[in-house]
Amino acid sequence: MHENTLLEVNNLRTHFFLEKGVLKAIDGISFRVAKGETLALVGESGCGKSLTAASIMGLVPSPGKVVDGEILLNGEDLLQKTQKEMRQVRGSRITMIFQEPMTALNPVFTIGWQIMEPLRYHRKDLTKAEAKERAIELLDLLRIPLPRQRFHEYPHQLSGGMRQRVLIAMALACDPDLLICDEPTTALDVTVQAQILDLLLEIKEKLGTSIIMITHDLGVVREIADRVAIMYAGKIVEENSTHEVFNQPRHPYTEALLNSVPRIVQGERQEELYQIPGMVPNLLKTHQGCLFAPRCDYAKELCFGVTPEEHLVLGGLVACRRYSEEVDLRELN
Amino acid sequence: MILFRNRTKLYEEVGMADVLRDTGLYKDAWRRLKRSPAALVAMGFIGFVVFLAIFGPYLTPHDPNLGNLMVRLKPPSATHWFGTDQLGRDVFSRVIAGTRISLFIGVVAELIALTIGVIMGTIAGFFGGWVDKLISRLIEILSSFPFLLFALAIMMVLGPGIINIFIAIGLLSWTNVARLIRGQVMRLKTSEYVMAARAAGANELSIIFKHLIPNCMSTIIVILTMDIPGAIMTETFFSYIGMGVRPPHASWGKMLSESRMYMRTAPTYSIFSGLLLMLTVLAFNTFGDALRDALDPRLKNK
Amino acid sequence: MLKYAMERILQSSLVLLGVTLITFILLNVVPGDPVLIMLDQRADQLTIDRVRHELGIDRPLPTQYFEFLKNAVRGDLGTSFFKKRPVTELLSSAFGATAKLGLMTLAVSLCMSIPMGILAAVFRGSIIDRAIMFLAMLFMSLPSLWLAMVFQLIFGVFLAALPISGSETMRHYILPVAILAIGYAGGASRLIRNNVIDSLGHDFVTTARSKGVPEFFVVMQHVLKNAAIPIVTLIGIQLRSVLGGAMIIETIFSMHGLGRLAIDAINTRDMPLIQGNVVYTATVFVVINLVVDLVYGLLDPRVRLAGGES
Repeated sequence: MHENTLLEVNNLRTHFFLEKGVLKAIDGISFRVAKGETLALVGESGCGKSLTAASIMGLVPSPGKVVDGEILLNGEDLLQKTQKEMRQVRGSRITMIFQEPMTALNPVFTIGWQIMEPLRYHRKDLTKAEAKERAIELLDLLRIPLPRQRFHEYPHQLSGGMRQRVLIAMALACDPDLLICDEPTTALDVTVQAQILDLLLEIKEKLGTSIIMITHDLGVVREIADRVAIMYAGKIVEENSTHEVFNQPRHPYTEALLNSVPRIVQGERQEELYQIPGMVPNLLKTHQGCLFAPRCDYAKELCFGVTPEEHLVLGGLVACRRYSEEVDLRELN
Repeated sequence: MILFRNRTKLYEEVGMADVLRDTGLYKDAWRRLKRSPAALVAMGFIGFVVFLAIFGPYLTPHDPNLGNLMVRLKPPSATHWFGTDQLGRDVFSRVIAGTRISLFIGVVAELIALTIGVIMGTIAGFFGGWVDKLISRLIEILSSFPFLLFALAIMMVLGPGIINIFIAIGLLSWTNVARLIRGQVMRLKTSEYVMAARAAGANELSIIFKHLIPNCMSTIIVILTMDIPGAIMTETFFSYIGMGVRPPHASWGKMLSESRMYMRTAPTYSIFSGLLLMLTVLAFNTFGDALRDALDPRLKNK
Repeated sequence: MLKYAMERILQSSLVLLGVTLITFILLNVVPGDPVLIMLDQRADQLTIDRVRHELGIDRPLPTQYFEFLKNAVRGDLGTSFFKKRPVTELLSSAFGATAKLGLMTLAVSLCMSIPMGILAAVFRGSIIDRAIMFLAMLFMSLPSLWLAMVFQLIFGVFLAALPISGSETMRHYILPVAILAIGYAGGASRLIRNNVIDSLGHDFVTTARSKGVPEFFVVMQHVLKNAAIPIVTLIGIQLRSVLGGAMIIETIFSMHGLGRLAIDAINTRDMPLIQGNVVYTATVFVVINLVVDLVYGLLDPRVRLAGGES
C-alpha cells in the first residue's frame, strides 16, 4: 500500500442476480486514487461506471451485490464494514454528487436544511447555530450569491447550476476525503458546465479533496482529471495519466472513443466522425476472450479466445493483447 | 402530386403505428396478466358470476319468487341448499336470480357513467378554453355533492325502480371518469403522433376517434372494472332502504335487507347473498388492480 | 400563498352557488310540483294550495331561488315540513354524531393504513407486502352493510358485548367506527403504499442515503414528507366520503346523525329538510376541500411560493 494512496479498489466484482441469470455488471476492476488526485472514470452508458460509485458508497441497489474484491479507504476495507459503520463513512469521508440537480434535492425541504443534514448525523459536536454558519460558509465558498437568503429557499427557486452548487456544498459539508461526481455537468447548459468545472478545480486546489469524476464527456476529462480509467463492459481496459491517454491512446477502445469526438479545427471541416462498429456485449452471457474484440479493428483470432491480461505500459496499464510485446521490449531495453 | 403522396403515406404510417402499438399493448398486457395467479382466479370468478347472471333462470331449482309458507326460514337442506326465506322462498334460487339483477345494475349503471364521462372528458380535454372551464366547474360542483344523499334525492324525485337507479348512478358518477380522460386527452393532444396526424391534415373528429379514444381505451377498461363494485354496492344500499328493486324480485341488496330482521332466528339466510356480494366485489377489485398493472407497466415498475 | 388562498375561496363560493342551484332545480323544477311528491295523491286541492303557500312555492321560481339563497346565507334553511322545526336546528343537532363518527373513523383508519402502507412499500415485493395488500383488498371489498349485520350479530347478540343501536355513549361508536374504518383503511393503505414507493424512487432518496442518513429517517423524513402531500388529499376524500357514506351505518345502528336524518326526510318526503341537508352537507364538503387545498399549499413549497396557478 502506497503512502499517498487514499482509495484502493482491488478486483471489485458487482453482479446483479436477475431472473434470467447473473449480470456481471462489474467484473474485476482495480484502481487507485491518490490524495488530492482526480481520477476520471470514462465509458459508455451501461459500462458500470456509476455502479462502481455505488459499490464504493455501499449503495448497490438490489438485486445487485458486491461479490468479490476490496475497497480500501486509507487502508480500511469498506466492504468489511457493517451497515451502521458504512453510514458513518457516507456523507462524511466519502460524499457524492449526482447527474440530475433538478431531482437530487428534496423539493419539500429548504436548501439550508438539506446542507445541514450531513452535519447533523456526522458532526454531532456542532450546535445548530454553528451548523447554520457552516452551511452559509459553504454556500459562500461555492459562490452562491446572497447565501443567507438562499439558505431559507427551496430547490425549485434555484436554477439548475445553482442547485448543482448546493449539492456540491452539501457534499463538502463534512470535509470529505473523497468526492465522487456522477456526471455532474451532463444535465447543465454548456456555460454553466464550465462554471461548475472551474469550481471543482478550485475546491481541489483549496481543500485537497480527491475526486472521482464519472463521465462520458472527454472534454470534461481533459479539463479536470489527473488520471483516467477507461471502462468497457464492466472492466477497466486502460488506465493512465490524462496526458498519456489523450496523446497516446493504447487500447483500441480508447482510440475509438477519442476518434468519435468531434474536433473543431479552424478553417477545416472534419470528415465523417468515427463510429464504433457493433454493439456493447450482453453481460448476461458468458464471454470468451476480449469483450471488445468483436468491435475492434485490430482483433486477431487470438483475441476471441484468450482474455487479455493487464500490461504495464508507460505510466499506466492497458488490457490488450497487443501490448504484451511492448512490455517485453521495455524490459529488454 | 408529390405532396399528396407524402401526405397519404405519412397518414398511413401514423395510422399503422397506432395499430401496431395497440396489438402490442394488449398482447403484452395479457402476457403480464397471465403471470398473476390472483388475477386469474378473480377472472375465473367473474366469469362464473357472469355465467350465473346469464343462465340463472335455467339453473334455479325452484321459482325464486314463489314461496311456500309452510317452510319459512328453514336452514340449508337437501331440497333448499341455502335454506328458505321469510316467505318460504328458496334462498339458493333467489341468490342466483339476484345475481342477474345486481350485476346487470352494476354493469349498466357504470357503462352509462362511463359513456357520459368519456364524452365530457374528451370534449373538455380536446377543445380546452371555455368549454373545458365549464365542464371542469360542473365536475367540481357535482363531486361536491354527498353522493348517496344526492342519489337518494334523485331517486325520491323519480321514484324507485331499476331505470331510475341507472339514472341516479349514471348522472353522478361520471365525474371521476371525465376527470381522468380529460387529463389523458390533454396529454395525448400534444403528443407527436397526434401532431403528425394533424400536420397530415386529419380533421378533429378523426383525431378524436382514431387516436385519442383508442389510446384512452386501457384507462377506460380499468375504470370500468374498478367502478362496477361501487355501483353494485350502491344498488345494495338503495334496495336496503327500499328505493331499489320492487318486490318480489330479488337482488343481493334486497335479500340482505330482508334477512336483517331474521339474523337471530335464521343466521344462514343473510350469509349467502352477503358472501357472494363480497366475493364478487373482491374479484372485481383484484382483477381491476391486476389489469391496471398489466396495461400500464410503468405504474408497477415505479 | 395569499393569492392562492383567495383564488381557492372564490372558487369554492362559485361551487357552492352551483350546488344550491342544482339542488334547487332537482327538487323544485324537475318534479314539476314538489308538493305532489310530499303529499302523495290522496291530498285534496285545498290542502295542496295551503302547503304550497306555506312553503312559498306559489311564487315564481327565480324569486323562490333568490329567497332561498338569501335566507341560506343568513343560516336559515327553512322549516322542516314534517317535524315543524327549523332545518338548521335539526341539522346542527345531528351534525355532532356524524362528525364524531367521521373524525373517529378517519383517525382509526389512518392509524391502520399509514403503518400498513409504509411497511408494504418498504418491503415491496416481499411476503409482508403481499399479505398486507391482500388484507387491504379484502378490507376494501367487505360490503359495510353486510359487515355491520355480521358484527351486530357477533358482538351485539352472541357476545352481548357492545350496544348495536343508538349514539348516546362512546361505546355506541365502537362498532360503527370499526366497520367504517376497516373499509377506508383498505383503500388508504394501498394509496399510501403507492405514494411511498413513488417517493422512494426519487433521486433525492439516493442523495439522502449518500449523505449517510439512516434508513429510518430517509423514510420518515424525506419520503414521508413528500408522500404526505397526496395523503392530505386522501384525508379530505375520506372525510367527505365518511360524512356522506355514514348514512348506511347510521341507519343500521340507529344513530342520530345527518345520514339518518336524511333518510328520515326522504321517507317522509320532507322537501325543505332534504334540500337543507343536501346543501348543508355539500357546504361541509366544499369547506373540507378548501381546507385540503390550503394545507396542500402549506406542505408543498412549490404551490405555497408560486402565487396563483393551481
